[in-house]
Amino acid sequence: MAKVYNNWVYIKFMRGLIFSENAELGKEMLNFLGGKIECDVAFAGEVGEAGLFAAKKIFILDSYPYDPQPVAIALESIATSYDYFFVGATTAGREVAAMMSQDLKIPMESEILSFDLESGQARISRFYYGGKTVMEKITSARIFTVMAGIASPLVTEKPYEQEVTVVHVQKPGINLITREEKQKGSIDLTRADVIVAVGRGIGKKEGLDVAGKLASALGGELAGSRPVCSDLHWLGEERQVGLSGKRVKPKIYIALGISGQIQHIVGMRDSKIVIAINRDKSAPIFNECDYGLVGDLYEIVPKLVQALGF
Amino acid sequence: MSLVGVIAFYFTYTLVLFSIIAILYTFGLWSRRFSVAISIQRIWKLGAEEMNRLIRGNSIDRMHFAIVVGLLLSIAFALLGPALPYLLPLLYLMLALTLPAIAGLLLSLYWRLQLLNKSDRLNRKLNGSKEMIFNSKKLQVILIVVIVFTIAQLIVEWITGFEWLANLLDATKNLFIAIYYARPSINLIKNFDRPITKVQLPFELKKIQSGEVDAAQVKVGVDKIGELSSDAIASCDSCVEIGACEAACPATATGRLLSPRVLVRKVSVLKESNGDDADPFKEILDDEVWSCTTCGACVYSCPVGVDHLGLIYQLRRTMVEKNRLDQKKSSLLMNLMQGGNSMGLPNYARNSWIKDEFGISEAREGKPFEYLLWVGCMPSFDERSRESVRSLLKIVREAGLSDKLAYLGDEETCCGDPARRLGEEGTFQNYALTNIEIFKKYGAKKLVVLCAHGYNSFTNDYISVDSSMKGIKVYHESQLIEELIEKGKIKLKKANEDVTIHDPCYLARYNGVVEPQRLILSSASNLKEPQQSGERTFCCGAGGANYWYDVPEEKRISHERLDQLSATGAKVTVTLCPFCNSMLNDASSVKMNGSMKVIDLSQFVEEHLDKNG
Ligand SMILES: Cc1cc2nc3c(=O)[nH]c(=O)nc-3n(C[C@H](O)[C@H](O)[C@H](O)COP(=O)(O)OP(=O)(O)OC[C@H]3O[C@@H](n4cnc5c(N)ncnc54)[C@H](O)[C@@H]3O)c2cc1C
Ligand code: SF4
Repeated sequence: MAKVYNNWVYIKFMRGLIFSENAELGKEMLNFLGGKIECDVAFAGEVGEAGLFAAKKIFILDSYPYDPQPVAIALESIATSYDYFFVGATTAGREVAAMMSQDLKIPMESEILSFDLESGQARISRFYYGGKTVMEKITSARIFTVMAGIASPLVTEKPYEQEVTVVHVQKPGINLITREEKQKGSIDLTRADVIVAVGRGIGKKEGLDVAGKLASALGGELAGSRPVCSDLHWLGEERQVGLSGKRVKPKIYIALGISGQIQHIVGMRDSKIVIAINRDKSAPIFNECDYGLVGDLYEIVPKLVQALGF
Repeated sequence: MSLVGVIAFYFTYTLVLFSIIAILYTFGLWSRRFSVAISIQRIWKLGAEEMNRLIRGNSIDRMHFAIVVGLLLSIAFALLGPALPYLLPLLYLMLALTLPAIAGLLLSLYWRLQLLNKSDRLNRKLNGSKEMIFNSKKLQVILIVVIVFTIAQLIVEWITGFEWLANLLDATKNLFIAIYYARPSINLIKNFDRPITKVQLPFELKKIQSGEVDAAQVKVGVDKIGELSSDAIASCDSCVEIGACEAACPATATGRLLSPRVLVRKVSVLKESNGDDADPFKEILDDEVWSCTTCGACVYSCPVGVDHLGLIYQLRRTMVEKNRLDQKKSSLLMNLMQGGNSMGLPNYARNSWIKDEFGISEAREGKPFEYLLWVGCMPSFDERSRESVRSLLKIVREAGLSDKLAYLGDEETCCGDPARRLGEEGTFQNYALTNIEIFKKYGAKKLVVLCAHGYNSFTNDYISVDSSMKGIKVYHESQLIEELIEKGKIKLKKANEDVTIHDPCYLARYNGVVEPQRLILSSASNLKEPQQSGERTFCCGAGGANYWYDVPEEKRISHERLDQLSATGAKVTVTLCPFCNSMLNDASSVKMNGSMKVIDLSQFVEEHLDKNG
């Protein structure tokens, strides 16, 4: 715990607790925080997995219900010996973190990109302005959520010597009654990792075959601009991306023959990598892409498919 | 005349007198219930308004006028009956008047018979209850009976010896009027000059913030029909199935799940059959309420002063309150609440390009300015739409006014219109109060907007939130450009080119701004008016927050409007609002491969600037 002597902050020993119901994300966070703050780990899983974490103290939640409330309460019960909390930013993790923040009256910051301790305070950075800029700040927050993929998982070769405690999670207030699979055949573009989107530039419905080949070579989904989906009906309306369609954020978004009007852009601007193929080099899509190819999609795409080995 | 004839005449004449007393009685009754003072001046004003509609109106207005003239004429015949043989010139004049009246009435009869079928189909499509469908037919048949009786009476007036029959027809028809048409007439007398722009406020955020009103006491939306405002209920109950709203409604025309007639009738019949506690959504479909573009054509064309829009806002607020929103509507609200604009894009540096390209300063730099330019959401984010601002700024530069102009930069957010129209009044008022503070901070006296929605918000909506807005003059770009031309600051050169015009609902119908754009366009081109133009314009499909969401429809409203515009033969359409421009541009590229050029008024003016003049 930190102690203050005559306005000097003397860092005795800051300890962090990492929690994620997802063991991989837990290991990523260990790597992310390595050398910055010493952390113990709490996770929900098998006792046998504990040794794979490079941490001295491990807490295993004895159950992991759908209700975030008992999870938060269980973590709060071990919170007293820690100064900082790092929660994996999964759907459930975000809720758990928010509840802890509320219960413990500790401020929280979400989805941090970096963490450092500076004279007893945390300096963090996070995206701001919808991802346009990164903001750095010194914060009094002590609970943070951390996104998956922030670092590679910290792998331990040999089992770590550690103290393992099982933490009891109370019976949840919400019970899972049944699980229903999503209807087969309905696609969920918002979860696709790779999207190949076509615009009016494909010219004819048959052009979909060319785009389809690229999509299957990459294991991705086909999508389209509004004219293609809801005016010409070459693709179903559920595949439309944009203002009046889906908002998607795949790892790779390939735009074929799409001009890139703002109504389309708002639906795909959160994609990680955007590749555009368009004949017109002044098409606005080229302002939004990471890689742009000026040319006829009917010449370029088959070559790409070939290069991918199909 | 035989004795029997005399007795028959005076007997039926007494019936006429009774029927007229019945009309006067029910008129009195409803005017008390609606607390309307019927004065000569008010009736006179209404008469002038009706004449105005006759002159500027469409065929439905004229038919409606023929019915009113026919009714008045028939009553005059019956009342003056005993005296007419001694007032021959008057009799001949009245007989002559019957001819156009009969012609008009026959036309209305024809239209009404067609409508009987069409409206029945709509009633069923829109899930009307049995009672509603029955009631709808009943009212339409009564209107047909009244028309038929009036025509018959006017014909009989030509035949001597059958005055008793004419009297009988008149008395019966008068009873119908007394029973069914007194309420709508009083509603009309009360509401004919109510502006479409008026939106009833469910609360005043300012008073809640200052603690003057307890937020816990504020109720937004309605759980029961009885909670609708009394004006809305009076409005619904006044509908007599004329169908003018339905004929003007762009949503009905494109096969959306909405007819303003059916909507108000559903409320009225549901209240009658299930009482005040009935849930309005028992019969009203969600998409019925969302299908409306708030274009105001229904309110504008209703001959009896029904306020369909007032009802629609109350229903939308209910759905927002209960979070009955799909992802598109809720993400619009999220963007408005969190992002400072309707597009869901970072507000930061939204129009820094203005400074880069034109060197115009931001208000916060402290340089004095005369006009404050409100760029608007569309041009701030949509590259295509920015062209209209570029053109306006070039015009301003040509007029030597660049120094007198400033813009808000990152302090500009949303005018709030999409929130209000979607039914999120709190977010709207929040924007309004914040923006008014910003205008005050910089001492803005003149605002310039390119968007019809911004224009309407600042001129009407904001005043209802804070009356200090009355001190700010709002210019739509058309008004500014007209002023610059008038003062000789810019000159246009005439080209021999056909252009057509699309008036935005929120500019033309809501605010009556129709002249400046016509003066400008006709001075520099051959202006081809579409059939529905000026105050009677047809919606582009974006209003009422429809830009951000979709509803089931058979045809896009923008495509329907594009058809009307291209029927003029012109290959260029001039718009006066970035949203109309975006909708019609999209329609042109999808439907006509872009062969209809859709440009903003500022772009047209820039193209036609006479720089040597
Ligand atoms: C209210 C509203 C909502 C909207 N919502 C959406 C929405 O949700 N999603 C959406 O996508 N749009 C939406 N739009 C439409 C949007 O404004 C654009 O019109 C649309 O995105 C354009 O589609 P596009 O790029 O496929 O077609 P175009 O703009 O016609 O572009 C075609 C492109 O293909 C290129 N091209 C042509 N041939 C070839 C070739 N052989 N090889 C390579 N390139 C070629 C051309 O250079 C051109 O850039 C909306 C519009 C409005 C008004
Ligand atoms: S406001 Fe326009 S779209 Fe809405 S009901 Fe009236 S006419 Fe139809």
